[in-house]
Amino acid sequence: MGEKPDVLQGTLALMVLKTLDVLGPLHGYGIARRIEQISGDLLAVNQGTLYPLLLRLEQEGAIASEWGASENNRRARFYRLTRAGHKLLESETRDWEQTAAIIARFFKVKAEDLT
Amino acid sequence: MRFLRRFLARLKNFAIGRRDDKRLREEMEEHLALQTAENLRGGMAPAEARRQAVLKFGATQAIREDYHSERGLPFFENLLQDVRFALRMFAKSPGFSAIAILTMALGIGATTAIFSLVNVTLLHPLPYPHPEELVRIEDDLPGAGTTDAGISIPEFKDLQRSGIFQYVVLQIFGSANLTGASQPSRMQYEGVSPAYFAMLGVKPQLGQTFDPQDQTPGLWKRAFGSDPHIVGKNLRGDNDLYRVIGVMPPGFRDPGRTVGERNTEQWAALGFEEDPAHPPSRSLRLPLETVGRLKPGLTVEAAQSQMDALVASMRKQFPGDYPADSEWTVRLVPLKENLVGNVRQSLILLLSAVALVLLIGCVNVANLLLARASARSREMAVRQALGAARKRLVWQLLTEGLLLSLLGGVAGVVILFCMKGFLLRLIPESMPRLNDLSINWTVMLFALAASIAAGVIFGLAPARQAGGLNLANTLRAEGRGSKGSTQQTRTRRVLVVTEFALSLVLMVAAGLLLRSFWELYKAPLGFNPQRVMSVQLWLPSPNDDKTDIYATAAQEAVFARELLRRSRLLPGVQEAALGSEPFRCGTTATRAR
Repeated sequence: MGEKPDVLQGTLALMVLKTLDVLGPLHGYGIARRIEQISGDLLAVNQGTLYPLLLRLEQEGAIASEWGASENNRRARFYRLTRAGHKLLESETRDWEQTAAIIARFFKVKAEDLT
Repeated sequence: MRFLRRFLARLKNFAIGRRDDKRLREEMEEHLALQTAENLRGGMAPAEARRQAVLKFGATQAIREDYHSERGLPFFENLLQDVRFALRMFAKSPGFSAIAILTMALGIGATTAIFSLVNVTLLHPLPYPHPEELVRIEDDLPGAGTTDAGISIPEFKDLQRSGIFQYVVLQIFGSANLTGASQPSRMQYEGVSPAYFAMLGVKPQLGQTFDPQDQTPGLWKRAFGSDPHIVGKNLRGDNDLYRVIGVMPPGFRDPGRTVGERNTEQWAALGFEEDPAHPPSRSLRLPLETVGRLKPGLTVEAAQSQMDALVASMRKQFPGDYPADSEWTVRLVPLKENLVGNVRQSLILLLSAVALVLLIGCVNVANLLLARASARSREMAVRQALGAARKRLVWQLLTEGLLLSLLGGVAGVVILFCMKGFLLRLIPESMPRLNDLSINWTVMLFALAASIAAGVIFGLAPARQAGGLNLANTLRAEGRGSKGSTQQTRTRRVLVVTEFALSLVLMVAAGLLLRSFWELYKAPLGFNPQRVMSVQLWLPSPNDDKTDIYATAAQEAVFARELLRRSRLLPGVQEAALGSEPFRCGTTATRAR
C-alpha cells in the first residue's frame, strides 16, 4: 500500500470510523474484515497496518478500546467510537462529500462548457 | 485539538518509557487466530490456513515498528539514544573528546566575547527612548578650515525656535575639585542646558531634574555615599557653591564621545543670560557641544534640508556675523553614528577574525572526527548491513558533532565568565558603552547559536561520509585492514588545506599587529621611567574670582613650594619635581628610592 499513503491513510481512518459507527464496538479483525468486504482488495493484504492506525485514532481521542471476549472466547481488544469520534466522523464525512462533489463536477465538465 | 491530544498521549508514553508491545502482540495473535479459523471454514488445510492468514496480515516487524513510532515520540527517542551513545563514545576516547571540546571552547568563547562587545556598541549603542531621533549638531566653517567650531548663544536660540527639534541642548565637559562631601575628590562634570534630561528621556532616582523653564544654576550629583538626604545639600565645585536637587539612576550615562565624557557623574545647569563678560553675540562661538532631539517622525535628511534653509536665511539676515568666505554650515549627525562610527569597522574586523578562529576550530574538529570516522566505517557498514537506516546513522553522527560543540560552547562560556575581569582590561577605554558590557541572554543565545552552527558544520563531514558508504566495498576493504577510501582521503586533504589557508590569514594579521606593538614598545621614552611615579593634581579655578585663593602666580608658588617640601620629606622619596606638563598635563613627579 505504499503508492498513495497519504490519501489511503486518510480514507482508511474514515472507513474505520464509519465501520465503528454502523456496527458498534468491534475488534481489529472485525474491522479489517468489514472494510475488506466493502472495499474489495484495498485491505486484502497488509491487514496489520490497521493496528498502528487504530492506536493513532485512540491517541487522538476519536476511539476508545477495552478488553473483551471474541467469538471464539479469547481475549480481544474491542474498539468503539467516542463522542469526539462521532464529531470527527461527521466533519470528515462532510469534507469528503464536498471534495467528491467538486471532483465529480470537474469530471463532468466538457471543453465547450469552459469557453 | 486532536493533534494536541495525540501529542500529549505520545509524550506521556515517551515520558513513562512505555516500550513493550504486549497488547499489540496479543491483538495480532487474536487476529491471526480468527483469520485462520475463517480460512479453515473456507476449506483450507490447517497449515495452509495459518500461512495464508500470516501472509494477509503483512510484514509483522514493519507493523510493530509503525506501532512503536505511533505510540511514542520516535524523534526524541532516537535523539536520546544517540546522545547516550555519543556520551559513551566520548568517554571511551577522553583525549580526543578533550581536544575537540577545548578547540570548540576557544572558538566559541572568543566569538561570544567579541559578540558581547558588538551587542552593546553596535546593536544597542544608545540606551535612551527613540534613539533614532537624537542628533549631534555641528557648526562647520569650511572657509576658515574648521569643523565643529562651537556655537554662539543667538544661534542656539535660533535652533530652539526652528521647529525642527523637540529639544536642543548645549553641553560642556570639564572636571572640578569637589568639596563639601566627606572627602574632597576630582569629579567629571558636565554643564548642560536645562532640557538635557527631558531630551534623553530619563527620570531621576531621587529629587528632581532641572526644570526646562528654570534658568538658574544648580548642581546635579549622581552618587553621594548613597545618602538619601542628599537632595537640598550644598556642594562646592572649585569653591563655587552648588545645590543638589536630585540623584540620577545608576544606569544613566551621557552619550558622550569619549570615555571621560561618558563617565560624567554630575550635571550642572548652564545659564547664558547672566554672563556680563560675554554679551551674547552671533560671532562669539563658545566651545560647546550641541545635541538635539528631532520632532517625532522627522527624518535626519528632512531635518538637514530644513536646517540648510534656516542657515541660508540667517546668512542673508546677518552678513556681518557670517561672512560669505567662512561658508558657515550646520551638520546634523545621528548620535548613534557619532558614537560608534569610528569603532564599527574595527569591531567587525575583530568579529570576523574570531569567527575565522571558530571556523578553523570547526575544520580541525571535522578533520579529527573524519579520522575517527574512517576507523569507525566498519562499524557503520556492519550496522547498515544489519538494517540501520542511513538517515539514522547520519543523525547519530550529527548528534555526536552537535553534542561536542555544545559541550565546547558551555566550556567556552564558563571560561569567559572566569576570565571576564581580565578580558575587560584588554578593551581600549575609548570603546563606547564599555560600562554596560555584560554577558546577558542575548549573548548566551548567540553562544548557543554559534555552537549549533559549528556542530552542524563539522558534524556534516563524517555524516556525509556515512551516508555515502559503499557497504560491500567497505566491509571487504576494512576486513583486509586498509585505511579509508580514496574519497575519505580527498575530503580530509581538502579540510587540511582549508585549515591551513584560514590559519595563514590569521597568522599574517596577528604578525602585523604584533610587529607594530613591538615597534611601539621599543620606541624610546627619552628618560628612564624606572621608579618614577607621577601624581596629577588640580588647583580649583572658581567662576567667582573672589573665592579663588590661587589667583596670582605668587599665591600659587606658595602652594607649590610647600608641596615639594613635604613630598621630599615622605619616606622613600629620593627627589621630587614639579612641572606644568612633565609627562602629561599638570603633574608632579617623585622618584622613589
